[in-house]
Amino acid sequence: MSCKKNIIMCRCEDIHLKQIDDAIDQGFETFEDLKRRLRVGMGSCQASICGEMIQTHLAKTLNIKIEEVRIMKSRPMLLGVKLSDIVKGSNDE
Amino acid sequence: MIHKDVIIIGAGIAGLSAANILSQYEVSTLLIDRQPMVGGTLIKQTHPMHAWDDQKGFDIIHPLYESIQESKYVDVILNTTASAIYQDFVLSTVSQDVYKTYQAKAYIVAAGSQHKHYAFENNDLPGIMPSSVIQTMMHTYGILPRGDTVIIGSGNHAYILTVQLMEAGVSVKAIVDMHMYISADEIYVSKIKAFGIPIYVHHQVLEAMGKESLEAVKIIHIKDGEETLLEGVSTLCVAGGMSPATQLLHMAGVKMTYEAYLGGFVPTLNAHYQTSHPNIFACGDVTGIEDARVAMYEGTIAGLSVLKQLGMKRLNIDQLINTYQEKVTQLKDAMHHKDNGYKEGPYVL
Repeated sequence: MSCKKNIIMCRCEDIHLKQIDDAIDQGFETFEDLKRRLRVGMGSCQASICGEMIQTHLAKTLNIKIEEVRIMKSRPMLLGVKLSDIVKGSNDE
Repeated sequence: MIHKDVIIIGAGIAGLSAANILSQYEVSTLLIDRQPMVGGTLIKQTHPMHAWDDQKGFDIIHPLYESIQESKYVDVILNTTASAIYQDFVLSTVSQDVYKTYQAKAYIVAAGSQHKHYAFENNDLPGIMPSSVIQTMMHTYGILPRGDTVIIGSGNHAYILTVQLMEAGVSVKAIVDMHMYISADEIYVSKIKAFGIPIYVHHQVLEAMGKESLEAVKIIHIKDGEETLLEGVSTLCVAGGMSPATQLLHMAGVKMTYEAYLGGFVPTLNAHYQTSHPNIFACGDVTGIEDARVAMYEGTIAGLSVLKQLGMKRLNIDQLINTYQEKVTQLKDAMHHKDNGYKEGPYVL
């Protein structure tokens, strides 16, 4: 059996498969749950890398179809934006 | 806030095709792309493409972009990322340190696709790269992958990339095909066989090995579990499929459905490529991973549909839309009976 600690699921927050599986065992069974528990998908790529991989894994672990895994919520911003840039952009209006 | 009639997000073949239609009318259009150049993934296709009469990606993009640049109604801004779309149809963009907000009467989302990722042991070792990264480095910046390379993936994409790597002088050690059979067209497979590159069919990566960076790859036969160790490997290219880059559409709250054969979640569209939100249209790979010709026609339809919605008069607009819809249907019918591993992508351990 492979070592789950060496399988990185979320690169931005450095979350491995063991952490995800432990959280699922504790009842965190949607992407949004895992996000609140482990910060997956909250880094600089905003789940564009881990999103689908974790959804696929949830579907497989819970033995449901991927379309039944509640989709993660995409929120502003899609990339890191400095607050000072937003303030500056707003002042220019 | 800057007001526009239409904002197109993504300057790949779909976005450019939509902009090309709009550029012929007095419609103020903004075309944005986060890359430093237009052309999306098509511009990275440096091989003669059979579906396009042996033209290369650049040959198709270049004339299209030139005609758009001649129009005084279309502004193109590059190096600019659409960072968010809000319910009042305000779009925010970020370019370096500059944050701007826009509002448009209609949006065309042509954001393209992103690569799927793959769960195996030590999948964060330096030297493991998605195919799109390798293509961008190689074709845009002239940087080759280091040392012996192994390609894991399936479908024409993986095999075309292998040919591109070989032609660029990169030593390819093996192709690991996740399908039960060789999942690419004979034309590419024969080239690879001529190079003498071994193809491991129905295998996947079990483990990447190495101290500081990648040194070896352990693969496993998906059915009978037989393991093979590929040593002396410095680069692992993951060509494991693409999925639609739908984050902006999610954020806008448009209705989505899951279609495995299209690469994942895709927006629900009507025949005019309009999403469940009347002011948001979508075209190209963001509506499902398809052929570049499909993306071109879809972009054209989205452009025409937006013109119609804005009340612009164009002769035979409905007839034109119908013509392109038929072309899309023909192409899709021809493609979907073919099992294309490029879309399905890898599965997680």
